[in-house]
Amino acid sequence: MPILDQWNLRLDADAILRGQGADPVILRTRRPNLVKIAEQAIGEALTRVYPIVLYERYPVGSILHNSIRLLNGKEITGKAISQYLSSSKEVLVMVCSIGAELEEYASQVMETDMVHGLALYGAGSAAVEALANAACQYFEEQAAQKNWQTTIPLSPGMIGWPIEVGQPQIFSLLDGEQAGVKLTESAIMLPMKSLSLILGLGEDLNQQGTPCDYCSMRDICKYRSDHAKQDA
Amino acid sequence: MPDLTAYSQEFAQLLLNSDVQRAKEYSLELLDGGISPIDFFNDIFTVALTEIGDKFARLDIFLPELMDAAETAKTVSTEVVQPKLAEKNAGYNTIRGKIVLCSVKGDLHDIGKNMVKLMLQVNGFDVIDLGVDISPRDTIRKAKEEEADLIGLSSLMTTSMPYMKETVELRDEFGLKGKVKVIVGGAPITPEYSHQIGADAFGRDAIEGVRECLRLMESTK
Ligand code: B12
Repeated sequence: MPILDQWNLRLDADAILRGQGADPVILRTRRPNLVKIAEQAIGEALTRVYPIVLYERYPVGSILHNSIRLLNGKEITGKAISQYLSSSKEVLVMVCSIGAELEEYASQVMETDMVHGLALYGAGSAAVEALANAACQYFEEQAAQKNWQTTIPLSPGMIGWPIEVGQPQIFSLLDGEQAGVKLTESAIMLPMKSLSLILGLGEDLNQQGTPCDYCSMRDICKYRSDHAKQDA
Repeated sequence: MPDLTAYSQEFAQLLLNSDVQRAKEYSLELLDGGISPIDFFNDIFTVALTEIGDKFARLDIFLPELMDAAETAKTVSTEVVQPKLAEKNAGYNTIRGKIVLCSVKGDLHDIGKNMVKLMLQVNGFDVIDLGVDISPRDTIRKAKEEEADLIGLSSLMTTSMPYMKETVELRDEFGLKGKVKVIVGGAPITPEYSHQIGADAFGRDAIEGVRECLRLMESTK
């Protein structure tokens, strides 16, 4: 299974502060020390992340009512799946992870300095999210080379694709161990800072919207991505 | 006794500035100047923390600012207040309650839970943090073993929410209802859900969580 592990992740302090529910612009003037802590956390985080993307592409066989069947006979079920992947020729299944080292370091720091520890946690979340975004962009560019497009990324846990359904399906299509990621019986990926996604690939795909549009927390979430906010 | 309000306000400002050194010196000055450790703890330290919590509730400060102030308060408490209390008022108990806290089974999200932990600690709770993905059985077992007053459950996912309900049910099966109170929280949790599963309290954020824990402790007295 292909693995991509050469990523140049860029993190910014604003993303971390926003992830903690703060307005970075206000904090920069009011509490520069907190911005400094976030910046320091980024520096420490970047030396402790091991970005890895494990993926596989599968040709789509048929579209069923609430699922799609792949040519290899496996099915991916969920209302969201048939809704958003129905015009896809292929699906690309991926797991992105930054490894466990940052998490371990953050937990250690947490014991003595929670503010610093939380900034490291925030940096970890931001890093795996940045990795997933970069991977989606990479696959979009790859698809564009043969005049194909990609759908919005779908992730177990979104509306219409429950975690307990989606996670085992993803891990039946990917050998997570190859990226050092395993799925526990309670459907949690280890290392924690991991994300699982699926993209549809094909021609003339309907590409409207952002993942936030399909999220159960849409109306109350403080962490919506900037582009989603602009569209709202 | 002098009016301590002005001191608590000054102290709150030092905490908000996260000026650890100055906050420690200030506390020592007051303690050496005749204010008893108990009065300092109850009427300055605790009042300042409440004021900072109120600022957060009014959206005057953001969560990281609250955390930063809490971290400073924690240092002052462990390095200045607790030793003074031990020296002058041995036996005086500042622990307001013992709570077993975790992210429930099926959930790995722990940033919010960790924030709740810090706020509870600085507000005088003994927090036993079990971590993430914790089964109802392990939570109840630990609560029993530790003779905890409270259980705090965090859930950020619809898949893990049912384990909150199971934990409450298991507590009742163990005959601990009324003895060990359960407080729940996390972004998708609502007061209605909390009520529906039989939890004793719900906290929208870390500050509301502390308030509710204090209320639960009062109601068990
Ligand atoms: C950061 C984050 C992550 C990080 C986790 C970092 C970590 N260590 O926690 C990463 C990027 C790793 C992650 C991964 C995943 N995540 Co995530 N994640 C989030 C996100 C964006 C923010 C959560 C957060 O930290 N908030 C900041 C803190 C401060 O807020 P909070 O947790 O709400 O806590 C406050 C209050 O709620 C309250 N509180 C919380 N707990 C308690 C407890 C008590 C007792 C009390 C009183 C109060 C209280 O007080 C806190 C402080 O004020 C949420 C979206 C959201 N809007 O919540 C999604 C979200 C929770 N994740 C989600 C999902 C689906 C996942 C994945 C399964 C996605 C995937 N398919 O890969 C993976 C799973 C990874 C794995 N290992 O298995 C979904 C869940 C949807 C659902 N159906 O339930 C959400 C809602 C996103 C979404 N819209 O889809 N995630």
